[in-house]
Parts: sequence; structure tokens; C-alpha cells
Amino acid sequence: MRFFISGREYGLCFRYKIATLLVLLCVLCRGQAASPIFFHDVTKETGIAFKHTDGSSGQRYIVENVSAGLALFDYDNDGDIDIYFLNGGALKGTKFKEPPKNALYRNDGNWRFTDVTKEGGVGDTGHGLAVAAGDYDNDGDLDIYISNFGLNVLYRNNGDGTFTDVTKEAGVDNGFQAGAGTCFLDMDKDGDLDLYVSNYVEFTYENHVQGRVRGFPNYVGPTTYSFPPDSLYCNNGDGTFTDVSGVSGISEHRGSGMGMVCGDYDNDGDTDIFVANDIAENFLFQNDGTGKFEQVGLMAGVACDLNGKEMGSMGVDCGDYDNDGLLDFYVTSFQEQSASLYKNLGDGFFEDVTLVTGAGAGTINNVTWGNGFVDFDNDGDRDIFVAVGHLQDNVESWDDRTTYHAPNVILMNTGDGKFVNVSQESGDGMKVKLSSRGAGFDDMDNDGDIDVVILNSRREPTILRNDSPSSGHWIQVCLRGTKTNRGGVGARVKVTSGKLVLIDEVHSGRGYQGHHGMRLHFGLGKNEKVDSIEVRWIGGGVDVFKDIGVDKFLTLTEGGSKVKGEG
Amino acid sequence: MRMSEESGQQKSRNTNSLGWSGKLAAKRTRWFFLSVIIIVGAISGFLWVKSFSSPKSDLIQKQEAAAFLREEETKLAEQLIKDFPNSEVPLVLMGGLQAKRGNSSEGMIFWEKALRLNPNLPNVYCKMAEIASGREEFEKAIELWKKALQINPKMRGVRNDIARAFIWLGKYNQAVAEAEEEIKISPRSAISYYLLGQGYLQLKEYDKAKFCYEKVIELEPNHPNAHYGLAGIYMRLKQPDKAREHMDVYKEWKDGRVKSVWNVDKAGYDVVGSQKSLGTLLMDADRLYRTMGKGEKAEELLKHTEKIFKKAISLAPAQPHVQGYMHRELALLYLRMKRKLPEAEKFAAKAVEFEATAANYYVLCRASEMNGDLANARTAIEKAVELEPENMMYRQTYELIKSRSR
Repeated sequence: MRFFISGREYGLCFRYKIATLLVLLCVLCRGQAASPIFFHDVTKETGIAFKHTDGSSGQRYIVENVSAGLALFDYDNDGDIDIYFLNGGALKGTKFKEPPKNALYRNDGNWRFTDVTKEGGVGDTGHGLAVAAGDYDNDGDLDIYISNFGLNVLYRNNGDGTFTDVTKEAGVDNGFQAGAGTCFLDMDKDGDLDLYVSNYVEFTYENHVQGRVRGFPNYVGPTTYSFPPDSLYCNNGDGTFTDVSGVSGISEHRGSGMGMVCGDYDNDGDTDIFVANDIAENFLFQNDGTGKFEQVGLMAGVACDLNGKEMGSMGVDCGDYDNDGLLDFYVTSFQEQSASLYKNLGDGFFEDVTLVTGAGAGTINNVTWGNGFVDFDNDGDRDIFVAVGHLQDNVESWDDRTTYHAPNVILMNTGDGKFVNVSQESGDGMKVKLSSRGAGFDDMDNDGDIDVVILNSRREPTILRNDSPSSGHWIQVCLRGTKTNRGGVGARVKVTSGKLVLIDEVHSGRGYQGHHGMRLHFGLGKNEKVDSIEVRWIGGGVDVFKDIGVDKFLTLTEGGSKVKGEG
Repeated sequence: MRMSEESGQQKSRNTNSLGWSGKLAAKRTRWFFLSVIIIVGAISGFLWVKSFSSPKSDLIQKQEAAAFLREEETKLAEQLIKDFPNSEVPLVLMGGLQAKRGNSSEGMIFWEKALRLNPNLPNVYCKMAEIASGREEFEKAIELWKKALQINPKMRGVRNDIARAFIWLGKYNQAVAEAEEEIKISPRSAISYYLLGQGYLQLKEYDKAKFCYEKVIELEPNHPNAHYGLAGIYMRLKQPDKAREHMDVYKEWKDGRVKSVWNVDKAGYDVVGSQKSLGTLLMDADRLYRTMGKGEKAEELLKHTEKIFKKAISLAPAQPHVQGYMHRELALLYLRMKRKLPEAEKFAAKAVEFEATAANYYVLCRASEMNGDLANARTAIEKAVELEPENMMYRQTYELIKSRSR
């Protein structure tokens, strides 16, 4: 054994040690490297006291655990995004001192919100499941439609911070059903918004079934009940609607509808409809341009997963993840199934690219719900956010592979058609473990990046502030229709900035039974100028706006060529 | 004391001041309260008695029956561990029981203990791999399946599982290689060709994928997933008519699916599932006792299980689908153990009496056949084929019985 080493050997040793230390430091730094996407949980700072209830009757009614979505929209036209939370109702067998009700929170800026439910008159006490906001009467403000277990509700915005329940005169209560997703769309290009309501199952208190798994009580799935057809209401333009479910071709199909989204997937200038069905094939209703629909889900390749298996589909969003000018679909699903990404091939067909893109990562082991294609790091491509949480509140008792409360998932788009699960490295906001359902995405603090609001079943919501370190530029676009519907719902926007070409559409209702993103957001990366913005209005013409600066909120008015905006 | 005297005097003065009409009113009030007490008492008594005499609801009966069976299954598994402390078999069984009940972490502990006693247990590695795969830990799962293959390279189906995991991981070339290896040992495996097709589909090698799906259909003409896959390929190859053709077959299969009664009766499913599970464990236990030269113990166990099954049958509600299934399982228990064959036939006939399903007729056929009653066996299997003409096993059995009864 040698106890001494020479000077040369000592020098070599020292250098090795330094090199090893450097390598270790690199490894450590890499281990702690923050993701380009970072969310901070600011729920407690917001002053939001809302707590969701699912009715929790103890009977385990199927309409409890599916819970609800939420709406993010500017109800008072003051330029910031407000929040409308849906709440469960007092179901048979439940006891509440006061019946639970939905809640509207006004955004006061600086992440402070005020409960204005009472003043607004929007505290519906029905068992809320889905919501969409749209200007159905074209008076310049956004109205609210709520899909309940029970009669649905239409609140007309009076334009002064208050709403009036106009359900009865509008004729859209939809009968006593277990409602699910809902969307406003201009199906017939006549300049006003029609209304689609997806119906879940033919559930009543009388035909309720309580399940059991391995000796534990559980909520049964939708196949226990019959499936109803969905409902489609045509806007008569005078504040009333006509049920056109039959003549439109919609009611020929029965499904267990949940979340839904409307968009022009085939680029033919009209709005089509995607309905996520729970343990049944998804519907893709192709519009012939006049409000008549053909269900093409199976042939288009979006009805099932890669193996032809019907999924427990929950929520759906559409967006152009690969910047090829076509709307793709992302559908969330049940445990032991991956959420699915369907790539639009442009010829009416879709390819399930979940596996090849990695877009299903982190979604197999639990139940997934709200979702959105959003460019969180303003780098010019859309990432995917997925709300997670099991629907069986006691699942840990009989399946230790999963949990009722679970962290949400964020999949970062790497720009080459692939996604990476960066949830673990994306800040404390992604470590919150609750049973999430609806999720909304909007720029809540008007700082140019997109924040997240999540409705959690039986708990307080989660509000995530986007603190991503990205220095990417952005632009946000608000549309004003003059001949077509006022909110520009269904309009296609194409933003060209250097080599980057991005598209989006204005949707009213999307994701898991919720509503968000009417102010379109485009991440521009390093591009410092927008060459052009082309707007194709639904049922109208095409306007092109040129040479626009970045990092701005713009309002583009139909028929105009000048941009109204602010930095 | 003083106070009470004063109030008593006051009360007496008040009563005296009431007069005749007041007294009458007071008397009526007393009678009224007395009557109310009697009526309330009578109703409560009636309800109390009724609670003892009224039958339990179907749901409660099913819950009790399932809980009873589960408890017995646990007892049996624990007994095996006690009786065979140095054997890995009870540990493997207990691991399986835990995993089946959703306690996969507990299950893993038992399996790891079993592997310490005997590291050459490929099936245990496969079970552990399934758990890892269910937790989205595909790399770990592949490692475990490969360990199983190291012990027994000819194990069928394991490479399919590995291929599936590689597909989840997006490693399609590896998936293809594994499926091809599996086909070498199972050349008529439709699932292997299907997975091979899925691998090629992801690699965008559509012609190869098409060949694989066609091979699946050659092996299993009504394989719905292969038709679905082919429809997708023809759409990509811009042949919509061919695509529609295959999609129609897929749709026909989908629309033809019959909604099982167990979809609605989850509590009933819990009972019959627990019974089936206990039956399987019993078979394993019987084998173990006999292997270890404890035949007497095996006999005792059979008698005990018979009692358990019969008690569970009496606990379960009289719904035909539940009773039919439970009687059939008892018949199957006798048949599998090749004991009390006349009893088996009796229980199988009772199952058919409760519910005339193809499955019940099939078990009756087997029981009759094993009792040498070929005529009855033929009648039963004819009924089974009539009810489920697509079922290959029933058809083959029918042909066999027919040839033997000539």
C-alpha cells in the first residue's frame, strides 16, 4: 500500500476532483432545472371563498362525481377576465343550511376577486354541470347558459353588471335531463348564436343504481343507464330558440355526452361539432353549412382510441398543435386509458398520434378532465394542460395504483411535434393535489401569458399564475362582429409572423364542460412583428390587418382594416 | 322547598278557579295526550317487530354474501401460509389475492417474499410486471417480463406484453421485434399479429401493417380491432370504399354487443366474482395439499368450501341471474375436482332452471357427460349452441358429443 503520491499525480488527482465536481454540479443543476413553464399557486391571495359541492348525498348518484366546469369571460366588458364557478345542487338526500349556488367573481385586478353573485343575479341553485358564455342576443355583452341535472338556465346579461333569467321565454330549459357539455355556435351562418347541449344519461332518482367494487360502494358508470340524444336549438333572432335536434340530424344519435367543442375541422367555412362521449364512440358532426349534420366520428378516426376501443371520454379541446393550419383534437379519458391526441390530416381524416407524440404521458394512471391547447411559454407552439382526479372518492380502498386527489399534468410542446411531461418541474402550482374537473385558461392578470383556473370537486378552486421565465412575444386578439355574431364565435384567425403561421378560432364552450379563451392568445417566440392577421368571419367575409406590433391586446372589428389595441 | 309549596298552592287555586267547564277541558287534554302516547307506542312497536320480520333488500343480501365469501377467501389464504411456511406457493396466492383486491403494494410484498424462497418463478415476475405496467411504469414492467423470459424463454404471450409496453413507450422497432419473436413460438397468435400491425402502423409502414391486420382476420375473421385498424389504413391509402367496408364490420360487431346484466347489477357481480375467486383459490389449495401429501386436509377443505358455497347461495337474493351463476359455479367446482359428479349435474340443472343461459347449459352438458348421460349432454349443448351460435367452444363440444353419442 502506498501512502504518498508524487506532485504530478497530486495535480492529476486535483484536476480529476475538479472535473468530477463540475460534472456533479452540472447533473445537480440539470436535476433542478426549471421547466420553461412555471405555475405559482395564488389561490389564497385571490379572496375567492367559493367551495364546490357535488351534492354528496351519500347515495352516489351518477351526476355527483362527474362534477362540473367553469367559465372564464369578461362579463362586465372592463377588459379583464372574470370567473363563473358552477356548483352542485341539493340533491335528494342532501342537507344544506342554505342551498349551494353558482358563483360569479369579478376580477378587480392584481389577483383580487370580488363575489358579485348576488348583485349579478346569477346564483342558480340547480345541480350545475356545464357552462358556456355567448352573446346570443348580439347586444355586445356575454350571456350565460348553464347545463344542469334538472332544468337548464339562460341568463341574459343586462349590460350593467346584472343578469336576468330568460330561460322560459327563450325556450331552452332542455327538459329535466342530466345535462353535460354545452356550446354556442352559429351553425347556419345567419349571424346569431345557436345552442348545442350534450346530454349525459337517462338518469332519474327512481332508476338510480349504486355500485360496489370489491366490497366497497362506488359510483356506477354511464353504461348502467340508457343514452339520450343531444339537443340543438336554433336561435330565432328574437330572443327565442327552436328545438331543431330532429331536423338537424343530431337526435338520430344517442350518446353519453360530456365535454364538447365546436370548430371548423374541415376548413370549409362552417362550424362542426365534437362531442366527447363517456364509454361510447365520440361524435364528430360535420356541418353541411346550413345547420344539417352528418355524424362522421368513426370514419374520421376520432370516435375511439388507436385500438378501436371506446374511451371514457370526458373533455375535449381543439387547437393546431403542429402549426399546419388545421384544428386537431385532444380528448381526456378514464383511468387505464390514455388521453388521446388526434392529428388532423387535412382530408377529413384524423390520425391518433398519442403514442408517437408522447401526448398521453401522465394521463393513464388516473381520470383526466379539463384540458386545453395553450401556448404557456409563448414560444409559438401549443402545450397541453390536463386536469386530473379520480371520480371514485374511495378509490384508494380498492385500487392502490391511483388516488382520488392527484396533481394535474402539463405537457410541453417541444416544437417538433412531440410533447414532454414537465409537470414535476413546473412549479408549486403543479404540485397541488385535488380532484380536478373543469379547467379554464386565460390571461387573468393581462400580462401576456395564460394563467389557469381549475374547479376541484368538493373543494376550493385552484388559481395558477403563469410565472414562466419565457421572454417570448405574444399577441391577444378580441373579435367584434358587426354583420356576423358580435363575439366573433366561430371566426378563424390566422396570424403570420415571419415564418410562424398560427391559427385559432373563437369558441364558446370547450374542454370539460366549461368556457374560456374567447380572447385569442398567440405566442410568437422571438418574432418582434406580426406581418398580418387574417380573420375569416363565420358567415361573413375575410378581413386582413397588417403590420402590427407585438405584446398587445387587439380588438379587430369586422369590416375594418384598422386595429384597435393597447400594449 | 318553600318555593315549591307556594307554587303548589298557586296551582291548586288555579284549578279550583277553573270550574266545571275547565275541569272537563283538562280531562279532555289528558285523554288526548294519553291517546297520542298509545298510538305512537303502537306504531313504534309495529315498526320494531316489522324490522325483525321484513326480508332484507337484494342489495344488502348481495353485500353480505360477497363479504362472507371474501372473508372466507382471506381465511383460506392465511391458513395456507400457516400450513406451508416454507413454501412459496401460499405467498404467491396471497400476493394474487391482495393484488386482485386492489392492494397491489401488499401483493408485491408477498411476491417478493415468494421470490426469496424460490427465485425461479416466471409467473410471479409476470404478475409484478402487470402491476408496474398498470402504474404507467413501462420500463420496469419490461425488465420484469424479461426476467420471466430468462427463466422460461418459451413462455407464451410474454413477448406480446413486452411489445405492448414498448408501444406505450413509443419504441416501435423494439415492439415489432418482440411481436415477431412471439410469432415464432405462437405462429397462430392473432394478438401477436395485431400488435405487430400496431407497431408498423406507428412506424407508418402501412403495407406491412395491412398485411398483419389481414393475417389477424385470417386467424379470427371477426376480430373487431383488426377491422378497425384496416379501415384506418385504407383511409390513409386513400381507398375510402375499402375503409368503409371494414368499418362496417367493426360497427356491426359494436352494435351487436349485448349489454350484460352485470353492467347494471354491480353488487351481484361482486358476489359471483367473489365466489369465482374463492373457487380458484380452492383449486390451488387442493393441489398444494395433495402435492404435499395432505390428501385428508384437501378433503376437509372441499367439504368446508361446499358449505361456504351453499351458505353464500342462501345469503344471496333469489334473483335468477345471481342464483343461476352461483349454482353453476358450485357445479363447476365439483367437475374441476372430479368429485360428487351427480351433485354437479344436479346443481348445473338447477342453474339452468334459474337462468337458461348458454353458459349454464354448457356446464350442464359437461356434468351430464361426466356422469355418462350423453343424451342429456347432447340436449344441453344443442341449447347452448342455439343461444350462442358464434361460440367456437360450444360448437366444438357439440361436434364431439354428437360423434360420441352416435
